[in-house]
Amino acid sequence: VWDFAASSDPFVRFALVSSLVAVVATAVLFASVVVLRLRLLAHRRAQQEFIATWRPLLTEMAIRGIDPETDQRLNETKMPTRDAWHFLLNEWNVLQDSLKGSGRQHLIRAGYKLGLDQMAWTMLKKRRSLGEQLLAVVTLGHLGEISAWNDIVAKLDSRNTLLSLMAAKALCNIDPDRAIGMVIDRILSREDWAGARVAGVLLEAGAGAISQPLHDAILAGSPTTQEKLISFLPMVYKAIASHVIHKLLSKEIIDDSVIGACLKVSDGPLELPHLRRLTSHPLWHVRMLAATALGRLGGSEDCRLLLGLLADREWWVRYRAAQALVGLPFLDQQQLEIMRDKVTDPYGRDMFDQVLAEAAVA
Amino acid sequence: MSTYDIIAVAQWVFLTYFLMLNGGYIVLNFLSLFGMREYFRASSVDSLPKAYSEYELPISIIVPAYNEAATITASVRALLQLRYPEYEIVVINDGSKDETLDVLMREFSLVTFPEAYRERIPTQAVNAVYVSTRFHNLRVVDKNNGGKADALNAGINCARYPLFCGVDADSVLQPDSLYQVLQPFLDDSRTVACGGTIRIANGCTVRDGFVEKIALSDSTLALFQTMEYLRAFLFGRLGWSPLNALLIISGAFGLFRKEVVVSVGGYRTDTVGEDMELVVRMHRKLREQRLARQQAKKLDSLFEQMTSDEVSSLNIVVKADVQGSVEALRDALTKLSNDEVEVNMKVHLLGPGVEDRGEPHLAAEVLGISTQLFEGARDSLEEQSVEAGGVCPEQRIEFVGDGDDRVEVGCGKDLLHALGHPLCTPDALALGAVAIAAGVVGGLRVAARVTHLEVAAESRCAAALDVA
Repeated sequence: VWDFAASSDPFVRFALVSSLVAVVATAVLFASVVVLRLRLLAHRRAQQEFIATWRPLLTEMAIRGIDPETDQRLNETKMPTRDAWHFLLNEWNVLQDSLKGSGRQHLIRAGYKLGLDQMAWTMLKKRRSLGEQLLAVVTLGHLGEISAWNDIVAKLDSRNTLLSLMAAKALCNIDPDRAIGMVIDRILSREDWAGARVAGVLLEAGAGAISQPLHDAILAGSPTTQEKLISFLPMVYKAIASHVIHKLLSKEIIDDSVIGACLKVSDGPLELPHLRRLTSHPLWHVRMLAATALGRLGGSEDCRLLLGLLADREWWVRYRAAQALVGLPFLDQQQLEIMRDKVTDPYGRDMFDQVLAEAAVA
Repeated sequence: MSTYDIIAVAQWVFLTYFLMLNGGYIVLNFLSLFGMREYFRASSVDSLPKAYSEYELPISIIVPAYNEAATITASVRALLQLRYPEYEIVVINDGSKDETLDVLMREFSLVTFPEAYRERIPTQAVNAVYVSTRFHNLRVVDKNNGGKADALNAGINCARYPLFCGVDADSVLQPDSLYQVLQPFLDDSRTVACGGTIRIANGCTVRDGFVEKIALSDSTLALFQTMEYLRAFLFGRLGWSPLNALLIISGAFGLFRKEVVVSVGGYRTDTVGEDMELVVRMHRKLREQRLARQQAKKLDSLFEQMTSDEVSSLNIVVKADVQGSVEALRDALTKLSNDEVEVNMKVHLLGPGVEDRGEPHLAAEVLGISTQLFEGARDSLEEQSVEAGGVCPEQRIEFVGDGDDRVEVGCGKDLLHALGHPLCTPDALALGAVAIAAGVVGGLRVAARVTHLEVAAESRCAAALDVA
């Protein structure tokens, strides 16, 4: 074939060479897919075998701590080879995350006995793959390895979102009071940190560690800072959250986005005068949030305000106002229907009907 | 041209097409392999910072249905069993001619619901909205036929939640599908859309809307289809995604941020590939927004960097047209102002023959630009009735620094434009002004130099300052 190609015109030679390149590339791809698949199957099989042996043992150590019996079982169990370290680390971390109190402490002692700290250090220093770095950071965090502090802080600014979040979580595990300042800085600077994941990290730090730093950061921060951090106020001590909200809403000049963030989390009666005032705010989303908040906190004197909002030009304001009215605990079905009949605005009446129907179905 | 020549050209055309197509597929496949390897590595860690469920976004599932009486019940039942904290299902009966609506009403005990329908995206007329008395998160919208895109738009209008997921009525979802497709939104809060991998159910055993057993079809034709879906969804999408160039998210299963979709006008009804068209439009809009944000950010941080001595030299890159460049610079400079330092800009018209070797000329010298007048300048000015040496107060660049520092820089946009000298563009002089103003507000610690100057004739792009 090659002789034929060599003696042919340039087109045939070019076609043959390009086809061969395509065939070789396809073969490499095919082989890669097969290898990937086989490795995945082997990985799963090895993981199942590992879990069958180690999960009961780790669970027992978490419950009872290391006593002579668990110690003996541990000695009888073959330690995983270096290739299977990540199974052990992963299993131990999953168990750590599902425990609280003494169980966690038992498991930390078991972790040191198993040499997890050394395994994690080796993984972290070698920087072989993202998966290993993630495992190492989480393990060192769960172990409370203060000596790893600087190495984990360096990961906090990793371009990889997951690794940076893991580092934040680990730092909060090691020393939440020291970590929270750095975590707050990153919450503000990293656009890629999703609220749900950040809340998970803050939960790890605990209300005791986050309350005062969040309070200070919000009150001293710019409107952008305030808007971003206020959404995490439900996770701090209630008195501190209420103080922050009250202080912000009492300001004469306050950014609209900050008002919105405050209204989402406000849950104290002190805020009622502000909420009532904000039902006539020029921005529709502020009116909407004020209506929702009045539904949570308002009294019978607020029905008139909420009825007024049913004539708002924005759909969502009407919807939340109607929901707020229907959700007020002191109004029964009959009173609501009387109110509905008194609504003269056709859009407001439609919305009232919709929300009453929703309540009936629910 | 002889027949032989035509055939020869055609051969090259076909070969080039073959190479480009298959070469493209092979490159995409390699990219997707790397993507998959990274995915497996990252997913080997189960102990993620847990997503706090109260902060997870609720999802509206939108199911357009046209003549789906045979499959709609199983599909909706499967959707009702999905594992996710808060979601609603909005089925759109798009003017079906079969019993789709009757089947839904019977199977899910639907009653008429007085929905205060809000038409954010125009659609065909909505006849009625129904709600299930058994499943409070299930609503059915009955509307006139307008096609799948129109049905999806009606669903978006009815959706209550910030994320919506378009699902085909004959799609079969895994119970944890919503969690899986939400993952990118949690991993990166800037995510606006995510698509799931669609595979062919031919040959699989499906019971009550869930896949019980995965198998291949006996039909050769169906096997080709399976291959094509694997190529398109698994390798194609995975290959494009790392490049942030995903051009299509399938309408069969895709999660979107509702407000972004509404802001671009929803699905277009006058096109065949409405899902691809929407994604391309979203790309364009968001890229434009990102560009604008980046420019604003650079300017916002410039002053901070100058005052904290972080900037030792200032490289300025300008892409601006002649028309509008001064306006762009004015906008840019306004952002350098803060409570302590005020930067004002007015266009200053320096007349020819000015002997003063003041700051305007200094600015030009810093830039290495001659401000000497050239032959024909005086005539040009006279044509424009501009008095030589005169200063028009309305056209003046003025930078007022902290304290007594004051730099005035002549721009003379119209004048210099009339002169037609290639280096003496208004942009060049105004840039000198920017550099010197930056030096003034930064305490004269900034050495300004222009490393690159580009003037695009058609572009109206604003001036951009790049800090080295």
